[in-house]
Amino acid sequence: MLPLPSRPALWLVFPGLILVWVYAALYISDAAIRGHWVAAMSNAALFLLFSCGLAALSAAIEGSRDRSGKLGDLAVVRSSWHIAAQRLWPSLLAGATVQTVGTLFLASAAFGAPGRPPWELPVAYVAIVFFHASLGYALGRFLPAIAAIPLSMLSSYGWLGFTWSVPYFPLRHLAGPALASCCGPASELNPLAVWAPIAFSIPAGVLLLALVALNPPVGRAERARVGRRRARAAMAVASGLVACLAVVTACSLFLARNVGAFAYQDRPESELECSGQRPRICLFPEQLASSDPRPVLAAAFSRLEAAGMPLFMAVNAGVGDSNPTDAIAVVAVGIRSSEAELIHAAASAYTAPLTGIDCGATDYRPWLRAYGILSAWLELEASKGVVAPERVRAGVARDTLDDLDHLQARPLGEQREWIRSALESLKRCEAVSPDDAP
Amino acid sequence: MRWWLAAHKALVVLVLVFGTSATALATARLNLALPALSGSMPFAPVPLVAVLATLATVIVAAGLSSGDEAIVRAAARNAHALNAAYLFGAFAVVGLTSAMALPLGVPVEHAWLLLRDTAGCLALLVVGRTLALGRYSATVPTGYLLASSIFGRTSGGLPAWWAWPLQRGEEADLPVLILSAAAAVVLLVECGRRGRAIALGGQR
Repeated sequence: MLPLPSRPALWLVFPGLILVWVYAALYISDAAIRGHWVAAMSNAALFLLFSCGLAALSAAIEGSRDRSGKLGDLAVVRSSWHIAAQRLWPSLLAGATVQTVGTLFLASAAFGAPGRPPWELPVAYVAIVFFHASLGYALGRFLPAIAAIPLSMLSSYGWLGFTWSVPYFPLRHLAGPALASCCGPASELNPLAVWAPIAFSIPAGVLLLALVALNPPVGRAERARVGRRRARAAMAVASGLVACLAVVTACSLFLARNVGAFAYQDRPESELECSGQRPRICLFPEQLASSDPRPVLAAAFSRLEAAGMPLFMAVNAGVGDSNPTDAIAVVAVGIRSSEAELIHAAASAYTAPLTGIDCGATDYRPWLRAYGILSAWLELEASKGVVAPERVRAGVARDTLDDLDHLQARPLGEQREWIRSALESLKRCEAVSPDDAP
Repeated sequence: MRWWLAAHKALVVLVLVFGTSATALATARLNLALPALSGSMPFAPVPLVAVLATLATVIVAAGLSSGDEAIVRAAARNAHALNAAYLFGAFAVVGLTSAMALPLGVPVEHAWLLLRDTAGCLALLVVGRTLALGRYSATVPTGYLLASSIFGRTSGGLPAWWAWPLQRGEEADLPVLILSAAAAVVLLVECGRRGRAIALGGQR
């Protein structure tokens, strides 16, 4: 057993933990992960940037020590696998520790949430860290230390960062950080996005270690030392290993081919918990865990019905698209949403068909002006008696407020007519002015 | 001299630096997403040119250190002068590649960006060698690139004045020029010291 104080992993683990803590404090929003196991643990994929870099750097230093000690040239009693394991475990453990601490730190925001922690995510993280440790060790064994140590950092960060820069999506799911794109309450992890990095990282790491264990004689002097026949055989096996690496990469890309840009998919509607009749409101268990937002939503829809808007018969939490014709509304309800957020979600259900509408090359400004008035009016009506109108108006642009006041100066019947006709006109890409007669 | 060049793998380094520079010029518009702890985004777009200039510097560092250090120290020649010439030669290869790429349609700004980033990285390599970091000397330019990516943004998301690998504009020219000039002075001083030592040894 090599003395622990001389292992670089021991000294690198502390800066790694500090970086993870700073990164989590700066960028990971508590609101996005609170009360949701999958969201909390998948966001920890961002910490791979530190845990993998640490594992690769530490393993490269270990590998370069073996190289400078001419380990590959010596006749040793222990097997190559035993030596590699002895060298790699601190790097792997340090990387896994940093990743696990980061994951637990985020997972603490989900304690008490319904469902189970997704155990497959930590497995994927450890597999990815293993691949980076193997890559670093291979670089350390094959290249001079002066090149291997910086290249281990560049290749680790480059692989994780490069995959975000290319428009070929399966590649990003092999690297791992793309898992951080998962999940809202209405979505779940795509299993292929979790298994693709595992299917790539473990075999690729093992193949890299096999290549190191083989120690192929690349240089002329090495080929002369081992003999031409043995050198040729070793090179043939090494070529086979490289070919296997290519096959593993191709198979993993094939596995991730249908995942798309993000690592999530819609949750099955069978998981929805429904209550009420007019409207029937269905939400996911995470959205109901802290307090039931369904009465607030039902009341908001009732107020909008009283204001002359058509009543939705069914309200879903983010599964499918809003369809006022079929009286189905899709609302974006977060976990532990405030009353104001729930009312905003209810009002937005009417304007959802206008989101992302393509009106060609027309001037969008009049359209956006009418859209602003429509949204603000709906939100004010939905929040009557619950949220102070000043609070709602505070979130509206100044120009839109002037138009809104102009509209609200009219009799209530005319306002409702204008809103209904504006909704239809905007769907047809026709802008309406608050001065237009309904 | 021929032995010295062969021992320092000059030909291999020359070909690799040429290949890296050509790739950098061909992909100069691309950015690589690296982690960031400053600014407003968890990832900072780092120009690929800066990453490839760092890679070229690592290759040069590997070539420089590939000779037998004990023999080099005991050599009658001024090894520091040879090392300096090696560094300037590598930079000249990058310059030559850039000059060759201009008639092929590569914009002057991209060629200048590559030259500037290579000069900065080679200067940082000199810093690493001067600090006697040995086999860790090439981690200085690599570490600087990663530190720029992680900490080199202002709260507005713009690159900080010192984080020249992130900058594409002229504002980064001055810090790199100062750094390169300082590295050149260090190299010249080292050459002069070694030359004096050899001369004194010869008198004895």
